[in-house]
Amino acid sequence: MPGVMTLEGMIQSALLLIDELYSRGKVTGSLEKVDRLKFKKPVVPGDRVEFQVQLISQENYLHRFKGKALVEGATAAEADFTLKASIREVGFEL
Amino acid sequence: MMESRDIQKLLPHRYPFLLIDRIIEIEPGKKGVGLKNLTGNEWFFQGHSFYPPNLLLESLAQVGGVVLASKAREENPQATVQGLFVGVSDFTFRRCPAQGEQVRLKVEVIQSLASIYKFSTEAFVEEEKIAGGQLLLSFVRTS
Repeated sequence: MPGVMTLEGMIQSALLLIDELYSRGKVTGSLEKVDRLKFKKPVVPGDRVEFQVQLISQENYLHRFKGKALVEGATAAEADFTLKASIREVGFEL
Repeated sequence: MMESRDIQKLLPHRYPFLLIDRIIEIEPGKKGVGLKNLTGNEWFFQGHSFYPPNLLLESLAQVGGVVLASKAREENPQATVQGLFVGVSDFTFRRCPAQGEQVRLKVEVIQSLASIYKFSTEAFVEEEKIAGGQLLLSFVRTS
């Protein structure tokens, strides 16, 4: 699996977490910044990857995360990244 | 200038994951400028209309790979090379490139230590800078 795809996995896990923070289904996130991304081990077919993300800080709509991709307990990739959440206004609230 | 065919001689990447179309400027082992054209029918546009930021990282890394591999091939045309994307630091995205845009990918080696190369990279659409930061590549050659 290409290394950047493990980053995408971490981002999508973090997006789910942001989704839980706000009312569901109304928020979208975009990637703002990536720092300290390290690909430590290649992920090969047959591996099961576990993504762990932790919210470090939150300022306005900027959310900083620390993420890890684990294969059988060993770190395959890790990164610090910032996601910007934007609230989507869809339809009317009744 | 290098066409897609020349890039494929230097990189192992092929269709779904060869994320650069052309190299317009290159100084082997030092710096290079690549192009990525975003056509609407590419696989990553299924479901949304923006170029995913993580793929932008990958295309910058591939330009870096071409810069290093062309240096190795210049010294020894038979050299087998192996590059690996090892990390990213301090990379900021201003916006994501959209369908139909042409992304210019600029990379420059700023530091090297043993087999690890640090690149300063920037991505532009026209004259607008859309992203920039530092990438780390590991590069080994066996002649």
